[in-house]
Amino acid sequence: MGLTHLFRGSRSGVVGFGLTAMLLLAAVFGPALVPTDPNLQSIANAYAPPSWAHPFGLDIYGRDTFARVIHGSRVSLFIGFVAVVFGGTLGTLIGALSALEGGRVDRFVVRATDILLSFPTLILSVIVIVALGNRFTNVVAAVSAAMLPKFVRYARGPTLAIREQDFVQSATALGAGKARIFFRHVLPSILGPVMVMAALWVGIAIRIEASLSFLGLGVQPPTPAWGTMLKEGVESMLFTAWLALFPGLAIMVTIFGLNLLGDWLRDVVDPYVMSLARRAEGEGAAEAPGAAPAFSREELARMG
Amino acid sequence: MMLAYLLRRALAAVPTLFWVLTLIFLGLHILPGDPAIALLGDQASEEQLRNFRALNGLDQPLLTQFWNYLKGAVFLDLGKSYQLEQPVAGVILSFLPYTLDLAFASLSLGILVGIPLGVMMAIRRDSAWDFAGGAAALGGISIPDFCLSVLLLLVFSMGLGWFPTVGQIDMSSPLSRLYNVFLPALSIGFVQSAPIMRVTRASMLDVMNAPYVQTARSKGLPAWRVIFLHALRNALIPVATVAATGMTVALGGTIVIEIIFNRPGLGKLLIGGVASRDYNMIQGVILVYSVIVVLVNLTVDLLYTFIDPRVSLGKEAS
Repeated sequence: MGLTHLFRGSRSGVVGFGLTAMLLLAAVFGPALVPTDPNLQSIANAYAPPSWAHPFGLDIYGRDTFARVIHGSRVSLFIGFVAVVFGGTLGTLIGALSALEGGRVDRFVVRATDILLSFPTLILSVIVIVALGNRFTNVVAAVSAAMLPKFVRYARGPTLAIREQDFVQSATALGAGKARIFFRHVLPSILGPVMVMAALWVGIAIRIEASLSFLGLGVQPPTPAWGTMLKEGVESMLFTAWLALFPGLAIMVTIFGLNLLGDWLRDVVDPYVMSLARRAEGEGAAEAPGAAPAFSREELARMG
Repeated sequence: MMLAYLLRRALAAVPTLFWVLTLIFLGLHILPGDPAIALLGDQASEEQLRNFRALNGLDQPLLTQFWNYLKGAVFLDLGKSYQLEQPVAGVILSFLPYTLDLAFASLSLGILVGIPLGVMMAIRRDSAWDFAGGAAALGGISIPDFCLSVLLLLVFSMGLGWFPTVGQIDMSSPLSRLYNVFLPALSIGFVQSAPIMRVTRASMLDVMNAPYVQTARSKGLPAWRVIFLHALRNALIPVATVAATGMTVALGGTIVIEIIFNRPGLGKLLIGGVASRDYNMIQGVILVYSVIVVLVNLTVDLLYTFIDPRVSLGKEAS
């Protein structure tokens, strides 16, 4: 299947794919292509404006902002993807198994998820960082923890719907155990929508990491991270504009690209499974009286 | 009826707040990290550390500390801030108006921009309006509020000089409050407007095809009447749900925005508390965030009855 067919004339899909591919290439090959040491200081040239030699200018310590933005892409994308894989795997397992199990376990999981989702996402990460300290691995854990309840709720919905389908009922009647039903029937059915959400939520994970780093709770200096660079840029905004501008733009372009890619993926993935997921999501989400099916969950979810 | 419903909902919120408190307390106390060392420094003598722990009850068994904290929280006594040496509840109360100003102003901006644009996009479907609105909504979803705030600061404060950059917030008159909160609120509000816009559009498109709207049209009612009095009211039900969730998002946004604009507020207290491992302050601020979220959800539930008279309080939606 050619790329043209895959994108089915979706221009936003092409843009999203292009931006994300560009970022991944920058993260993988950038440091080789931009050999400037991102931590090399040249205090005498601090705050130098953009030039051919330093396209994004130099920062407060005379470090090359372009090199730092390129190197920073590794940190952001790494934490974004790894946190979504960790939080997504664990969250999907908990959500799907809880829906299959039903009863008290399910009620407990739903309650706990509701509570975790009732306060701002960033706060969950802040609690983890306060508890564990801000080492790199803990930052990954903190962002994963923020993603976990989202996946629990998201995986639970379609599992509830699939549990009632004829083929699952037949498998149960034939004596299939819970593990077999989960791995043979539920997991393959929910994997599509979960992976689409995962693609969409990498953007949220990157945003949470950037927010944490901005607050001084994430990746610590001198490691180049976009959030930390943005913070340094804001602090020296009175002297220079570009120090805050470039890392800010990097974060925006990344999340924009991932959102477009996620939207396109959602259209490509089997519409039947997605509609199941969405319907079940709506059922789970209508907590308030009179609430219509929550077709806006994805948009909200993307905002954290 | 209304009072009974309010009481029931308030009681239902108690277990939620209890679990929130438990989660924060366990998260902060079970894992490593000593506030005594964080506040007094590595150089503090063993005796100083011991005195600090005794003074703040940190030397007591965990269960006793938790029980004391819960008892205090019931009477709005959230303990004393280790760092500021003042009652946490008092400090939070003095910072709360700034955060509430910002969160409500953001949400109001989101609603004021999102709903009219969403309606416009729906009634002019597939037009330039619709396309531009869709692009703006995509931008709103993709641009993190703190990045937007930096751009706004660069353009409107540093570049044009229309708004103060950072510094003292004058809260003396409503106008100066509004002026000071505008740029930070715009940062969060733009992001807020995106899902509101999308949901309003989708919801309006659904409602515009409903038989009662067709009937209203065929009766020859003016278009504005059909749109605003017949269609919009029903279309607003899902929008209210989104706006309620938006409040949680707005509160999360205020944390970083307060730091960027150097505004006083709960976010600053929280981050200051984190830096000095001021457990009481962290617990207090997160508890207040949770109470606000609970109150907003309750308000939105009450709003449903206003928007849609078919919804009756205390009964399952049909």
